[in-house]
This record gives sequence, structure tokens and C-alpha cells, in this order.
Amino acid sequence: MNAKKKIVISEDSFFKRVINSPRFLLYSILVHVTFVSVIVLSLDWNTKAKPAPHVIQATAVDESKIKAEMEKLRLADEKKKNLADAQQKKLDDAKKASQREEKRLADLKKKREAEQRKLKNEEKKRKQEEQKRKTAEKQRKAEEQKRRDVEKKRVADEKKAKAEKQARKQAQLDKLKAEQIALEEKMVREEEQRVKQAEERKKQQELERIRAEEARVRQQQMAEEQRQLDAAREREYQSIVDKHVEIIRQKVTRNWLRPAGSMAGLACTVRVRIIPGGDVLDVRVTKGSGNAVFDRSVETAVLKASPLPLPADRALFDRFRVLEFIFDPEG
Amino acid sequence: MLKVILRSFLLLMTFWVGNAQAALTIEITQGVKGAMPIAIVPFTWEGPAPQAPLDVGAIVTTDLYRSGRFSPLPERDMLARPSDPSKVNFQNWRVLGVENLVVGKIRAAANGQFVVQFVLFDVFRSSQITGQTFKVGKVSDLRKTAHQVSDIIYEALLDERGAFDTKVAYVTQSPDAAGKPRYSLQVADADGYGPQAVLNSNEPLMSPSWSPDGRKLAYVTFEGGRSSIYTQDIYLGKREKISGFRGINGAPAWSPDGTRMALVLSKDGSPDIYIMNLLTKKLTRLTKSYGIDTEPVWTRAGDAIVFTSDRGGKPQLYQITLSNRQVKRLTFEGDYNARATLSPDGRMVAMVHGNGNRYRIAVMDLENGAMQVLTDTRLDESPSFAPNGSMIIYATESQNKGVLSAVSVDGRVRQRLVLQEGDAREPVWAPYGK
Repeated sequence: MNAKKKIVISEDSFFKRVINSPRFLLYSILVHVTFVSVIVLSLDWNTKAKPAPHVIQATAVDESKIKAEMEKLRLADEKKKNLADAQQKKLDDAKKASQREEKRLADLKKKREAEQRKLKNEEKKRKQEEQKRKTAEKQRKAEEQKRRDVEKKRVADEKKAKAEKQARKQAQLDKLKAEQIALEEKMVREEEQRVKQAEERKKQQELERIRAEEARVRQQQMAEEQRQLDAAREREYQSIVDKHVEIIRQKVTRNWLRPAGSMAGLACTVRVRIIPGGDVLDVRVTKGSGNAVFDRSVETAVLKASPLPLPADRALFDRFRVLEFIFDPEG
Repeated sequence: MLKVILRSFLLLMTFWVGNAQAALTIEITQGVKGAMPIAIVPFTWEGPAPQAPLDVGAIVTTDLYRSGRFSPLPERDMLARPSDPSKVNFQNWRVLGVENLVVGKIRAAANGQFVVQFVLFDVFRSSQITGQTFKVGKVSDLRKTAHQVSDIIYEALLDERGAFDTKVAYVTQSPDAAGKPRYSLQVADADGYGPQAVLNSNEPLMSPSWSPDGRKLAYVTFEGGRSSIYTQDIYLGKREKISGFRGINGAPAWSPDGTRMALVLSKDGSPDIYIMNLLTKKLTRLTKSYGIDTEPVWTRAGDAIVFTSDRGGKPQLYQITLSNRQVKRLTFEGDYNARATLSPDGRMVAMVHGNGNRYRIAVMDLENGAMQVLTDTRLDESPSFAPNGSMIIYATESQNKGVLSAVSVDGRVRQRLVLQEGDAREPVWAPYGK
């Protein structure tokens, strides 16, 4: 297909060359003129140098016939030299032929001139057509140019439009981008603002917390001091209490007459109410041993130990108001 | 500021409430081991005679003291001597540390009768524990009434039955008018008073044993020159010979149900323990050893017998189970342990414990084998538990004369029983009887 196209282009090229080149046209014309001239000249020469009968033999109207005729004529001449008698006879014929020939030639000439005219006309017509064609070509070219210009313009326009579109798009994009950026920036600003506010708040809270902490610590310290004071007092109290518990224990122990016999596993708990001064108000068995004698010995022991030695500090009496004794003998 | 005050107040309240909730707790693990302080105010006498025919208060005091469980306040230490319960000032007794107080009186009633009254007080609770009025038909019964008062007090304070109003049997030996030795089987009050001979003999009397109902005694006599075993109703005087085999007939012991008698016979060789069905008189040989097996005593359940045997070389206590004849040795301490007597609760065995040339009364806890020597005399013998297990009566020697003594089971109180002429030996405490 490619080749075919090439060929077409080649023909077209040839055609174009013929059409477009005036020189080529000129050559053509020249060839035609030369050929015509030769024919004319030869015809003229024959007419002057040779008798007309020779010419009648040539029947061909075309160039090759002419040439053949001329050859024939030349041969006839030679034959004439050699054969003078034959020629004389023939001369009459020739004269008649020549006359016919002359008429035919005149016709031919007329015909040639008509052809010449026709050729000229054709040439003229051709030239006109050529001119016309050239004009058309020119016009075509102009149109082509115009078309190309239009196309160019269109392309340009298109390009321009595209560019514009692109530009618009870009602009839009840019705008969007800008908006995006603006939004982002706004967000960032807001975030920053928020963070800043949060930080501010946090800072405030931290401050408050610190203040509260300080207050708490102060309070704690105060409480701690108070606690330590209390603890110190409590320790003092406790040591007094412990001491008296021991004294009471000893007194009750001294007064507890353990029943004879096996008391293995017996234990008795009594709740004792004391009145200020240490006197035992009452003794109540809260968890008996199951052995009446044992339980009674326990009650008696506490009662016998009354008054129980209490601390002199009456503030401590509350701790001794109710005492619990667990009698749990070893062995 | 108000807040602080409020908080302090709350704290205080919490503390106070908490404190009230959790009372101080005091643990007592030690105590005084000893007798219970008691005061028995001499019983006042209301009657035509210048003084009471019997000092009941003194008998009660002695009884309670002898048990080892009480330490009566000497009369001279008393700050007051009330006899009317309404006139008792407890403070007078509290200051002396007296826990219990007995006041009472004897009144002469018509027909030579007496009325005995007493009240037992808890001094520290200022309350009456018990009290009773007795009508006594005659003077001779006043002693028994006194022991009954002792028993009531004993039981009220110690929650276990007293054994004052009980009897003991023992053998005395003294020369008769002709200068020959005279043996008597005596029955007296537990304090040794009021002995009455239930049997006299010029032949030795040995090994008295009470029937479980306290009505009969079994014993060994050598009447006719041969040992034999009799049972005798102490109230009716009726006696019965239950064993007169060749050789030794000794150491009778009533079974707890009173239907059988364990005894020692040598009719088949060396002395061994037999069991006789008292109804059928059928004998069952219980032990069969080359050594001497003697002095059987029944366990409380009646299913085993503790006895003395020299099967191990020296006399030691063993126990044999009746059903399967399984024998186990009980004593390992000392080179002589014999004459067993089991406490009424079955927890302890008392014995003559010989070490070197000293023979003393010891008790051993059957659960853990712990041995406790109760006496510190030299030739003690024949221990016998009181029916309440609180005391052990035994014989000992004093100035080459056999005397009876009682020791509390904790060994704290030993008291010689008032005596009687001659040597006294082999005391056995009577059961409560029925």
C-alpha cells in the first residue's frame, strides 16, 4: 500500500512536473515544430529538384511513407539514369500523377495548415487552459493557503483555546489549591489557636493544680503535724494504756485461782464494765468454756481484782470503760 | 475553721465509737494454782446446852480442807462471825480475799432432834449460791449431816460430787486381851471417824474390796490356817465363802457391774488371775504366766483388768483385755509399781511406786504415761481412790505403826486420818453406793 502510494506520488510528481514546468512544454512544442518543419522542407526540396511523378508514388501520408517515398524516388532517379526510355513513358503518367499529387499536396497543405491552425488553436486553447489551470492552481494554492491559514488559525485557535482552557483549568486548580491551602492554613491557624488556647487552659489548670497541690500539701503538712502530735500523744497514751493493761493483767492473774484438775482446752471470755476509779461494775461471760467452775473462777478473778488499776489520766478512762478478758490457760 | 472543728469532732467521734466497739482485750494465761479460799463461820448454837453437841462447822472445815481443793480461813482471821444470812457484810470477806462464805446454825429441836441450817455465799457477787436445812434425828447423826453439808458445798463450788459422806474400809491389827494379834475389818467415815469393826479374827485379814453398791466387802481370811475369800454384807453381817482353793486365794475385786469377781489363785501353779461368775461360781482363768500375776482391778467399763506382774522381772503394772487376752505393760518408770487403783473417770491409775528402798504413792496419767509421785513418806501402800477421784487414801507407817492418810490427787494436801488403836492397813474407799 505504501508502494502504491509512492507510485501515485511519482505519477503525480510527473504530472505536476509537466504542469508546473514550462520548459517541458516548450520541448514538446519544439519537437512538434521540428517534425513539421522537416516535412515541409523536404516537401519543398522535392518539388524543386525532382519531377512531380516521383512524388506520386509515395502514398503514405505519414512521415514514414514520406521517407519511404523519398527513398523510392531516389532509387527511381538512379533507375531513370539507367533506364531513360522507361522513364519517358512514365513521365506522362508522372505528370498526371504530379498534378494529382499537386492537388493532393495542396489539399494536404491545406489540411496541414488546418491542422496547423488546429494545433495552434489547440495550443492556444491549451495555453489558455494552462493559464486557466494555472490560475485555478494559483487559486487552489491560494485556497490551499487560505485553508492552511484557516487550519493554522484553527489549530492556533484550538491551541489557544486549549491553552486557555488549560489556563482556566490551571487557574481553577490554582484557585482550588489556593483555597485548599487557605483552608489548610486556616485550619492550621485554628488548630494553633486551639492548641494555644488548650495550652493556655492547661497552663491555667496546671497553675490551679499547683496551687491546689500546694494548698493540699500545706494542709497535709498541717494534718501531718497534727497527726504526729496526735500520734505522739497516742503513743504516750498507748504506752500508758499498755502499762496499765499489764498491771491489770497481773492483778487479775494473781486473783485467778485456776481450778484444780484438767482444764485442758478450756477458755472463757468475759466482758467487764468498769466505772471511773476502776471498780468493776459487772462481769458478763460472753463466751463460756462450758465448764461452770472454770467460768465462775474467771468471773471471780476479775471481781477479786477490782478495783482495776487505771491510769491517773481520766482522759484515758474511755479505753478502759469496757474490757474484755480472755482466760486461756497454758497447759 | 468550722470545717476543721467539725472534722476534728467527727474524728473524735469515730475514735470514741471505734474505741467503744473494740474493747481492750486482755489475755490471761496464767493463774494461781491453789485451793479455793473459803470461810466457814462457826455454826451458832441455839439450844439449852451451853454449846452444840458437835461443831458441825469445824467438821465441814476439816472436810473441805482435806480435799485439797479449799483453803478455809482460820477462825482467828475472821473479822465477823455472822450466822444470820441477812447480817453478812461481804466487804469484810472481800478484803480477806475470801471467795465463798458459809454461815449456819444448829438448833435444838424437840425430842432430842436438831435442825441444821447453812447458806453458802459468793462473796464477790454478794449472792447466795446454795443453802439447806436438815432435820437430824440424833446426835450421832450430826457428823453425817456435817459431811453432807461438806458434800453440798463441794459440789456447788466445784461442780463435782463430794465424797465426804462416804465410808472407808481397812484392816487393823492390835493385840487382844491375851496378847495375841487380833485382826479387824473396820468400816469408818471417810475422815476416819466412827470406825466399826465388821469382822474380827485372830487370823490375818487381807485385801478388803467393796462391792459396787457399797453394801458388801470381799476379803481374804486365813481362818483355819488356809487362805480363802469371803464376801460379807456389812449391814447384815451375812458372809459367804466364795473361794477356798488349794494354795493362794487372794486379792478379790468386784467387777463394776457386781456380777463377777476377779481373784488370784495358785491352784494351777503360779499365782494367776481368774474371773469368777458370782452367780454360778464358775471360774475363768485369765492369765497364765510363770511369774506372779496378782492385785487385779477392773477398768471402769469392765472390759479389762489392770494387775501387777513380775513377768518382766520386777513387779510392774499390766493391763489385759478380757475379750482377746491382749496384755500390755502400763508402767516403765521405777523398779516397782504395784497395787493399782483406777480413778473413777478411768483416766488415772494410782499405785505403790518403789524406787530404791522408798515406796510412795504415785499417779500416772493413762493417756500420756506421765507419772506424779504424791507422797514423800517411805513405806506407803494400798492406795485407793475416793469415789469422786479427788483424793486417794493409803496406808503408811508412822513411828513403826501403820496409819492411814489421804492425799489430794494433785498431791497438795495430805492428811492423816484420826486413828484408832493399833496398826491400820489396806484402806479401801467405798463407792457412793446405791
